[in-house]
Amino acid sequence: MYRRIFATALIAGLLAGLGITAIQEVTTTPLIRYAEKFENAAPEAPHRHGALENRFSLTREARGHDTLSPHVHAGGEARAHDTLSPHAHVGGEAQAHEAAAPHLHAAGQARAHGNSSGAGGGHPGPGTAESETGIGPIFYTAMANVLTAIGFALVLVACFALAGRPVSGREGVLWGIAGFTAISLAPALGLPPEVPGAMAAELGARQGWWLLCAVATGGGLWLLVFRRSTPWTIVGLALLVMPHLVGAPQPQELGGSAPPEIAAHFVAASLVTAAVFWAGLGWLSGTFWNRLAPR
Amino acid sequence: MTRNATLIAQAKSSRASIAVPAAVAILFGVFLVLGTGFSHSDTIHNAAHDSRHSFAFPCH
Repeated sequence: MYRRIFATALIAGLLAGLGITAIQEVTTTPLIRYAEKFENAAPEAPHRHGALENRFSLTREARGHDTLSPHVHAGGEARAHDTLSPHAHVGGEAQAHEAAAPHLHAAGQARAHGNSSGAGGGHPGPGTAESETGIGPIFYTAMANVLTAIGFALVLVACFALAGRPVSGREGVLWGIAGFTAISLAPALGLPPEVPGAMAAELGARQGWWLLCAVATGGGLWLLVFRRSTPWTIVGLALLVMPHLVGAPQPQELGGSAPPEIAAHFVAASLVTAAVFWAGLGWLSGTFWNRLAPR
Repeated sequence: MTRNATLIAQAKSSRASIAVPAAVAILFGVFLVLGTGFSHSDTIHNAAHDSRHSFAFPCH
C-alpha cells in the first residue's frame, strides 16, 4: 500500500507539476511580472523612497525593516521574516503600514535575494542576470510546483485509499475537482489570489485562515459525499460555510500598486490555471492508481 | 461461521493496512505543501514566489 500510494503520487505530482509550470508561463507568470513593474515603480509614493534608495546597496544586514521602510518603526515588532525580507511585514501594528506601503518588491529586492541566498535562489526582478536568461526563475518555479504537486497528490491518493473504492482516471478528475474546490476555490472567496503589490492583511493570519478554510472545505466535501445521512450532511454543510462566517483577515486599506484590471485578470488566470492543474493531477493520480492496483 | 469470522478479521486488518500508509502519505504531503507554499524562510519564499502566487497561497 505504501508503494502504491507513494509511487502514484510521485509520478502524478512530477508530471502535473511540470505541466502546470508550462501553463503558468502563459497564464499567471506574465501577469506577475507585469504587476511587479508597478510594484517596483511608483516613485511618487513618498514612503517608498527608503526602498528605492537602497536598491543597489541592500545586504542582509542592511535590510532591517527600518532601513527599508522608515515609517514602520513605530510598530517595532519586526519578526525574523521582516528582517530577512524587504516586504516589511510586521505584526498587527503593521496593518497601517502595509496599507501605506505595500511590499517593497523592488528591483532591489531581487538583488538583495541574490545577496542573501548566495546560491542565487530567488525570483529575480527585472534587469538581473537570471531574468535575462530566463532559466533561473522557471527552474525554481518548476521545482516548487513539482514539490507542491507531489504534496497535493500524496493527500489526494491517500484519500483514494481511505475511500476504498476503485478510482480510474475518470473518477480521478472528480477527485481533482474536489481538491480544486477545497484548495483554490473556497479559499479564494475570502482571500482572492493576489498579484504582487496587492494590499493584504498580516501574512500569518491569512495563512491560518487559508489552512482552516482548505481543511474545513475538504472535510465538509468528504462528509457530503461519503456519509450520506442527514446529521453528517448538516455537519458537512456547516464545515463548508464555517470559514466564511469566521471571515478571512482583510486589509485595512485598499489600493494595491497594480491596476485593478490586472489584479482582476490575475484572479481569473490563477483560478483557471488551478482548475486545469487539479483536473490534470486528479486524472494522472487516478490513472496511475488504477494501473498500480494489485492484480 | 468460521468463514465469516475470517472475512471480518481480513476486513479489519486491511482497514489498518490502508489507514496507516494513508496517514503517513497525508502527513508527508502536508509537509511538502507547507514547506514550499507557507514557509517564511526567505530563500524558499524567493524560489517558490511565482508558484505561490499562481496557486494563490497567501504570499508576502
